Amino acid sequence: MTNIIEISGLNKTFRTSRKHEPVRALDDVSVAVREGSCMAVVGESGSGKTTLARVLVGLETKDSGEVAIAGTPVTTSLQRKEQRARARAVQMVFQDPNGSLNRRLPVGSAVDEVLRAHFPLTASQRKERVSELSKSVGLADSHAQSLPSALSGGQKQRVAIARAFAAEPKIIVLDEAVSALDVSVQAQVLELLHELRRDKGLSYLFITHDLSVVRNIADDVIVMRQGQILERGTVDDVLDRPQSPYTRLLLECAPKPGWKPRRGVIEHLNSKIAS
Amino acid sequence: MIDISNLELGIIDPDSGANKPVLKGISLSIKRGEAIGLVGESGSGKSMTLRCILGIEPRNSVVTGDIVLDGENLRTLPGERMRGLRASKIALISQNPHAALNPVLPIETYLLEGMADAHGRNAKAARTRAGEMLEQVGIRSVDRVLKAFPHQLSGGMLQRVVIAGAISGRPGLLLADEPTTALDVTTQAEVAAILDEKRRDLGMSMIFVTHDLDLAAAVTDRLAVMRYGEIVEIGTPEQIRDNPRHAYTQMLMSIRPTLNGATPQAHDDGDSTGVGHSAAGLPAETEIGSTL
Repeated sequence: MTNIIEISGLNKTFRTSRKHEPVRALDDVSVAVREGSCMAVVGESGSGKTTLARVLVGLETKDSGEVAIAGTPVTTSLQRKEQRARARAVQMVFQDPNGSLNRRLPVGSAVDEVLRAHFPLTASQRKERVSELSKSVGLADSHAQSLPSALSGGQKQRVAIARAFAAEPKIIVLDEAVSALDVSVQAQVLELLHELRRDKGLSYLFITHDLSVVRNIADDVIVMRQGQILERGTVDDVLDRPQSPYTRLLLECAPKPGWKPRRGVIEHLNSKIAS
Repeated sequence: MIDISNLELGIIDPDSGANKPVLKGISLSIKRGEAIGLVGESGSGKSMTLRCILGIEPRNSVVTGDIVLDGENLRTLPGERMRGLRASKIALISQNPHAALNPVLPIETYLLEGMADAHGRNAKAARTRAGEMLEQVGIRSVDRVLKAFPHQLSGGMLQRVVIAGAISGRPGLLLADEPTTALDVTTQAEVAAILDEKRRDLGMSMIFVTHDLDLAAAVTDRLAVMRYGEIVEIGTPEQIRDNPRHAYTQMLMSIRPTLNGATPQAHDDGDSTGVGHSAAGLPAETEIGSTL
């Protein structure tokens, strides 16, 4: 099986101010994502998981390292045409759909924009395609005319997913895409993501802090902390037989039936990680 | 400690004058020293219940029903007395600690203000006490934190400061509205443990609002499951977990993704057709029983 994403030795440093030490957001990160699989990236705030996604989709430049998508290296010197192709091949869904939707634009037009940018279709063909896409994410045709404000959080996230699918990408990067949703809506959106992947053979890079969601959606997982990958493997291996003390800490701290929070767990494990 | 009976809240639409019911008759009794969890999805009315207790419900809302705290009906108290109660008997910890903290004042001022104003301590005693409180919530570098401004501290640290401030006046009732939701999972575990421990030590009652059933179960004695402005079920965490009676509770328990890999079943609550949701994004009345 071929790798749809290959990232090797990726580094990214942010300099916040002269007074502070530069922050190593990505510290020699290497990841390979198999075509058609879902790779979860798990970590807490400041772990570098979002920076990894942003570099992959081209929202952030890298300091050094290699990124290849479907065997084609991604560099800053890409021709315009190649840039467009990359933009189409990798789509992103963010946590807050309000940030990706124009509140003055009916959601159908928001999906239509993507079609106009990438495909030579006539107006009527596009209209049909918008309707198909809406249907595939479980939205009624009548919603195309709605402004985002008339939709619920779950519906808006479906529109954001429809927009991502409209470009017919190879990869979708989901950055905490289900984290803000109520559990009943989250279950529906996860189910939708399962279905779309099964039907279209897409690959996902799924960024989340929630290990339960990882178990639900992903095949493989990397655990990140302070810009480094601490552990990687199949979801079952990492969640059932965690090797890194940090992964064990994350698993221990996640609320579950019969769980009680304990004081001092973090300090205990921090000292373990440090040693 | 506190008795809420038949609490109703409706929001009046300024144009049409229509009354949109948000709370539809909440009744709840909490004993001294007892912690109760209000759990539910967005729009269920859990935060609005807290706002009614504090008397800070939104404008153009109509509230009926009684909230009796230690023999006084909060809904009919004069404003001045209510302010006094908010300072001495009730404390709120919200999701965002920045909402409680003044960005241009150091942490010390925040803690001293509460103690000196509401409890008449002299400045020196209050300063010593502020340091003690920070130690109690697991802050090591007390002096540094007292001098720090809110933007210099992490979310977990700030939430500990707010907890210290909340418990420093030994209020009888602690209202916690998603106090750990914005925190990393490890920090959440630490902060929840501190909150739980301090509340028990001081014998305070608590209403803990959260969307996370397992978290609520870990820090409370009873859970009230809310949906569309009503409490559909009250029980001990064990009873809710092992033997949920209401169809909605059963659905909540069955659909959440779990660590051990049980596959959740997506339930159609009307979201896909849009008919189940009003313009405000609040789920409208739909019968979920048929989908179970």
